[in-house]
Amino acid sequence: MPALVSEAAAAAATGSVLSSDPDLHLLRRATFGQTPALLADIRARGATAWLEDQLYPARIDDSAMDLLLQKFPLLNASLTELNKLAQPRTAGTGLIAATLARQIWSRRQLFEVMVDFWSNHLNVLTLTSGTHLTKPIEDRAVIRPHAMGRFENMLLADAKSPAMLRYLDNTDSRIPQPIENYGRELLQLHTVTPQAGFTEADVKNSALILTGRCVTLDGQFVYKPEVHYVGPVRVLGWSSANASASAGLNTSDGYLRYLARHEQTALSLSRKLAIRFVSDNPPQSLVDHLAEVFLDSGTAIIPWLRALFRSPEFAASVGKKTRRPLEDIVASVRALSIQPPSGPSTADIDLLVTDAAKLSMQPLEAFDPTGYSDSADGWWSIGGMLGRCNWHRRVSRGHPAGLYRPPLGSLLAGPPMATHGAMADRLAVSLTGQTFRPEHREALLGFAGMTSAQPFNQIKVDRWLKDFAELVLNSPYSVLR
Amino acid sequence: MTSHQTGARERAIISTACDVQSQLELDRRLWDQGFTRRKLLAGAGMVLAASLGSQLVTARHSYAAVGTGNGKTLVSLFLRGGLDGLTTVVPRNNSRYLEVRPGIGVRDSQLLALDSTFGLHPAMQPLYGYWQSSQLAFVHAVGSPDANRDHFASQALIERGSATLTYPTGWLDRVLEADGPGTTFRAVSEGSTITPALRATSGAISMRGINSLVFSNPSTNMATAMRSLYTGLDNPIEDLMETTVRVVAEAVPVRAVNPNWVQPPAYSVDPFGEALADVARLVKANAGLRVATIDIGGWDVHTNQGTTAEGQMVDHLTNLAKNLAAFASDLGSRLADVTLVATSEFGRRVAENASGGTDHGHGGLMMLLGGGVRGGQIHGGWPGLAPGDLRDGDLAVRNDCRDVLAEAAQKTLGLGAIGSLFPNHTVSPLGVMR
Repeated sequence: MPALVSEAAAAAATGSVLSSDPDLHLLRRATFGQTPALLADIRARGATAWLEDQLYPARIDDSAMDLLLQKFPLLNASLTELNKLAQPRTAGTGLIAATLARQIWSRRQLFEVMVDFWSNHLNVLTLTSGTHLTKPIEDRAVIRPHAMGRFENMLLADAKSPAMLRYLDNTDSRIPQPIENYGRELLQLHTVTPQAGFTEADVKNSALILTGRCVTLDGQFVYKPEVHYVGPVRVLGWSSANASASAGLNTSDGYLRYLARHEQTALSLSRKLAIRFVSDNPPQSLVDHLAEVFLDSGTAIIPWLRALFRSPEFAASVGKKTRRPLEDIVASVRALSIQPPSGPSTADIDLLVTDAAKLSMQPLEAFDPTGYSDSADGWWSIGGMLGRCNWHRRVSRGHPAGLYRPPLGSLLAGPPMATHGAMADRLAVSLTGQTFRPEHREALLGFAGMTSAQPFNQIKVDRWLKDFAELVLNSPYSVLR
Repeated sequence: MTSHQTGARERAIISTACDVQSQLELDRRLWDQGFTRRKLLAGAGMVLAASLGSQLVTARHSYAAVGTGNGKTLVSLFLRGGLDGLTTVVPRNNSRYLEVRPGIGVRDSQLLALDSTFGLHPAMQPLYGYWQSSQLAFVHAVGSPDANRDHFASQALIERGSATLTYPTGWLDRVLEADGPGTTFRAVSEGSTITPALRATSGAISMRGINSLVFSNPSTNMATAMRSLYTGLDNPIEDLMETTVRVVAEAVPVRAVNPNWVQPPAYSVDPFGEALADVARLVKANAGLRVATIDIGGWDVHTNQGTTAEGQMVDHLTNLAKNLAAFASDLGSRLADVTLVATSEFGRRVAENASGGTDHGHGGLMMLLGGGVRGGQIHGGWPGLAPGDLRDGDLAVRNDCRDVLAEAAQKTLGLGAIGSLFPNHTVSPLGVMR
């Protein structure tokens, strides 16, 4: 097995303030944020073995997370139980809070990153009257089972998912005037993208072939042959006589398989994956290579990810991604070792969800079918930068108050430090895995009128430690990934 | 796009940041459709040269004087999702209209009369007085010449003035180039990101109200520390922090003009109402605001479009009219110095669908509000709704949205030549402005 990162590629990754240490680089990309424990783990086992476990999440013990999830009983509730809820919206808000909790505290970090990736790719707005009961079912029956499986299977399952069929109106689509929403976005966003050169006639045919995929009033998938269009259909290179309404579901499954394995689907998904893990403008060489792996493996996701993390383009991309607001929140909570709630209440997790909403990135709540932008310019904002800085101030000062975290002083645990410079280095390593450049270390200390060369003064450090933590979280060492 | 949103109004501002991926893909598709590469590159090259030149000027002078230009403001409101113009400004006494829209068509008896051909949806009543006082106008059957029924491509066509990534700037960015240097607050996107129409070099800022432009850390060392921590990064985020620190400082005197400001109660307490209220505050504070952008989503009504009594359209139009009326009233005499132009990416299909909604169409509706608007009129041509007049089931586009946008910008801001605002398009004003 080749090394994850070649020496040459690492050397090429100059220019960023982020350390080109390959372990740190991998953790910043494959997880929601490094922690000292995670870094020790990858150092002990080696990046290759660590990554292989992350690619097969069932190998990783996540029993603490399973216990935590018991605080969200609606996650596993049956549709019958969900339909009896006096406040059905709580099923959706529970899913959102559980999603955030998993991103923060699950040990299956790459899995959670991929769940986020696919949830965003097949975006459904969770908190609507049509989806707050059905999106939790989609999460557990479509996204999570297939997040490390095969894209083809995920797409087929999603096309029977009540949440998606309601979000994009397919449940109301019927002959003679089908609604084009799902048929269009399936082509445009979920699979081949406009690059395939589909036409308005293709969109119409796409909508026609999908008619009949409906949702019952109580939120179950149902195929209704009586509203299915019968007659020849053609989309791009796929066609069918579509002669029988009763076979319409099978016929459209064939259409979905065709789309899942289309070369343009492979290219567009590979580009999206590379944008997630490599850079906002990933090299075409990488996209082409990933697309090939994706097609060769019959749309299997694990080989695709393995190819990405082993690529020289990945190794050379240190510091080229910016954390989006939600990623910033999750990484900050992880860096500060904030612990999950100990009692039954999840109210403090809800506070973090509210924080994410205020920064315009509540989990599973992207309004448009495009999902949230995954590149920095989609979040380019003075208000957004201030919002995250001001949130760092709160989180470093004890927010959310109900969640235990070790005292900030423990971030400096270790042998005695001789100087304020040594203190700044240790704090930076605790929170970001690496030291600051000298000029940035002086900027941090200068905030409190201190310098690196000064002898360590416990009283002064205690007085300023909260501000220092805030500034480290504000710094590019935390904001970039 | 979705139509199943409850509480859509609470969360109605969508910042549909144009995804780089879809832009690139779009670009390639246009190549396939026969654009010539040389033509596009030549156009883009000229624009790049022009914007670099003006960026230098802007950077040198931009943040000095307050109150540059003619003191007027263009507000660009983008109704994301595809506004159904045929429900908003309705053809009167048109039997064809109710034939194809039996469930959702607005009945003549409910309309507020605009002229002999059109009437206004009753939910727009709060704005009717501005029609009567000739400060409100509409353009029907308007759009970009390229029909594609695709939210993202259509938004890019309007906001960039071109669907190509090769054409790198937004149309409002080019307006600002023509306008010359200004203050820090000369170009503001009210929202979580800079709207695509303002992207590029103009130094536009995004914010959720000027009150949000603060570091909560009270230390006077904060600005220096943040600037220093973001020095030497070899990453564009360095510029973002530099701008952030500067804007925080420059927001202080603007807030001080009216330190006890509270949002007037006539606005909604939601992102849309808050955005409009903040724009009015900046105008009245003479902050040098030349161009402001606001987005409001929820117009993609594939289902449950509803009637004048209930449904998505009446809800959205009620909120729209209430807040625009609050804005005009809040501005008072300063409405004379403001033009608000509302645009959407396309109109909707003429015939309703099986679910009481409408799918993506082409010809749409624009609205202009302000003291300089030639109001009380529906401008431009009208193709009609007869089957032979439709284009693939859509209202035909008789009026080019670029002509409306360019005229609104030029007349409001007192710009000179605007020939280069939109690539490969010569502006022919419809006379929407005085």
